[in-house]
Amino acid sequence: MVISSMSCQWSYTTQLNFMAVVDALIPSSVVTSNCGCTVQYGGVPLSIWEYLLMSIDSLPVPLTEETSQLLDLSAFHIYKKRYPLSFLIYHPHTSQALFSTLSRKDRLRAINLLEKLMVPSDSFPVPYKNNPIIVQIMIDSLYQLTFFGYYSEWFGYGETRIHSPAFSSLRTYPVSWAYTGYPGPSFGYRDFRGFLLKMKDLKQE
Amino acid sequence: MQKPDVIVIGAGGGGAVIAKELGELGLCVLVLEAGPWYGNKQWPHPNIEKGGFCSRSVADLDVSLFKESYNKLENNMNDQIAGKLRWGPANRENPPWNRNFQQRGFAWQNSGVGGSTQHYLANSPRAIPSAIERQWPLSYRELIPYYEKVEAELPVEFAPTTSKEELFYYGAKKAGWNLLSTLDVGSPGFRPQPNAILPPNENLLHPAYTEEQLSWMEGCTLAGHCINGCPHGPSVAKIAKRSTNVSYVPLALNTGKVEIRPNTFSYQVITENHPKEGIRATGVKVRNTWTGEKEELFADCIIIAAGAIETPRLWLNSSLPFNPWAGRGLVNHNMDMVTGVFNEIELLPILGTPAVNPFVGHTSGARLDYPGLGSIQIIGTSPGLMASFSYALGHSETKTFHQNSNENAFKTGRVIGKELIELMADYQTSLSILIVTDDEVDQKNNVSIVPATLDEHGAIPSIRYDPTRNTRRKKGKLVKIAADILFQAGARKVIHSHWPDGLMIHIMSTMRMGYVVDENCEALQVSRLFIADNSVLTNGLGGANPTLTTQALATRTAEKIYNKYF
Repeated sequence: MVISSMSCQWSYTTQLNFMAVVDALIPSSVVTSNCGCTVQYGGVPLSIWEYLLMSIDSLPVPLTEETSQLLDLSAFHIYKKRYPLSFLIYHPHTSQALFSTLSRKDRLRAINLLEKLMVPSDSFPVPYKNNPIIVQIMIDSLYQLTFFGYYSEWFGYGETRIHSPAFSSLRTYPVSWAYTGYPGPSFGYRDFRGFLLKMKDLKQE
Repeated sequence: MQKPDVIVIGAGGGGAVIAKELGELGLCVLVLEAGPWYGNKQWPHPNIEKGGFCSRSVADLDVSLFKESYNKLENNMNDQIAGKLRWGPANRENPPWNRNFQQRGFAWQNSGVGGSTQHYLANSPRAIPSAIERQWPLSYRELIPYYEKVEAELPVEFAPTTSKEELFYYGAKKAGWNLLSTLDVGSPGFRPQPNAILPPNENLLHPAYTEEQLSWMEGCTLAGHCINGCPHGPSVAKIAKRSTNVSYVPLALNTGKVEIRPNTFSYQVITENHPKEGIRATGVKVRNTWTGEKEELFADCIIIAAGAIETPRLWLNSSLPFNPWAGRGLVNHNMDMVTGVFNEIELLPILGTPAVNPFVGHTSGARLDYPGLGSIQIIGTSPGLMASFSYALGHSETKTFHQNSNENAFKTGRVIGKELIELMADYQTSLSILIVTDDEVDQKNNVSIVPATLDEHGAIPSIRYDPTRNTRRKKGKLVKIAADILFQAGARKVIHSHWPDGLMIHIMSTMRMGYVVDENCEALQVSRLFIADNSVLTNGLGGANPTLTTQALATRTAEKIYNKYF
């Protein structure tokens, strides 16, 4: 994993948590086909966690640190349920990146618990504290941004990803296009199969 | 420009239309647009520097600049936070404008000249007549001449058939639905989308022309970028997809009577108490989004066309008279998505090719209307949008694929991990159908303001939407119809996304005709104040896409304003 220079603007633990989210939703996988097996890079090697961090910090109210803390609280909830007799105390500093210590399955569970509002929200950071709708909207956004970032051209911006979007440009082939067969932007296609109806035909009736 | 006759707030689907119509009637029109203007020499770098102040000449339009901006890359164009087609200021280093949501979801809108028609799919059906009759202050018959005028002006033509339309028609016929050969729908059936997209280039199949050459000629090239922002055509005014920035805006500028100012956010309507007219609108307070400079502008009539969220926000932030329906009655067609995945071997005999290729052709080229329920519409987007809209936006469900009563594999909810990777590997053999429900107006669903949360333009809007039980029932029926058509067409599995109710794409009816405005779209309580956007629609049009009806009404409203005040 190469961490780019722009990543310095987020704490390492926040980066870990966002990597852990992306890894849970789109992990690197072995894909089988007629030609044999190939590895399909997941969201982490394609730096989609950075896309998430940049996007969430570009909201009217930047929320990466708070969202990372939210994930840690859900992870803490899972640990607490699993080990009810242990002496576990949540602390925003010492529990940083707790979410990233979970297995992939448990990370999905932690995200799901937040979506289903099954984690006590009184200890959430503002603006999530006692505000279930914002929690759910953020969880929805984690899915949406991960999928959109991964399957769009974002990886292809290469080193210009760190620039403002107005100054980024494609530097390499967006590898996810190969995973879908999308040929990229087009000037046109010749798949014209005629018309089922024409306006002029209606007007003659 | 000296004091204009009319100020129009917003250069989107409605504002550009009414500006052009009033300009042709000889009135001086000033259009104020909050977002950027792509493809205009006055703003050669619209996202990087503030550029010019206003434009009033069609000679300012530059198709090379337009194509440079509209580069067809979905992340660059459609990212809702920092994309070119977002709801926010031109400077992409600044965040999008804030909204408060009282339920899961988001509002997908664009700022900029052309408004949300920049990313719209150009679907231009008329309203379902039964949704207008006896429910609107106008009859459907009264709307028809205005529909015809807009259909000719844009122009509107039925979508050509490509692979995905052919597959949909095949499934619909097999499922027992009939072809509707009409614009005025009275019974259920399928048909090509009436789209505001120029017919395919007549040389499209001529091998002597390269695709790139064709993209500089007149006519659609079936490139599939409607939703990313279509850049294909020989000039700005001849771009294939007829967003208002390439259709009505050039026509408005041609009148020589219309001036358009982008980067200008209108945050308050100015009124006065007139001895004869009562409360009447006289002006607008605006703020430049690059410099922060504020200004007051005055005209004889004010037309708000800021969209169904910002228009009620502007009303409420201007402390205009209390109206129990101002901001209320929001409908959004309670949308959803159903996606079918096909085997190549099943597609071959139907299409003659082993792929659907959802990225080819009009983004949405076919539909099925069902008066009383709504409509379903095929949709084929670039892969990032497809992954997020088909597989990310639903609720998380624990169930995996299961066999329904017909032994077909059906799944509801989000897809992640290996399953997502496999489904997206089948992108080329997938077909998605958008569910567009004829949702009921409910006064509880509304746009209000949050006095405690301000941005640079005042209290931000807050959006509440909870569909009625009847709306949910209708949506469920449409999902079943869509899934059945996909299975009939041979889908090996079908995924119902199960979108949150608050996903706002068709946002309508927040300043309803007959309640907040009269049949001429003039505010009942404020004279000389008109509305020309989706907010005036009395209801959700029976599940028809709203733009054409808003444009027909804007055309009509222009006549009424001219006759009454000039």
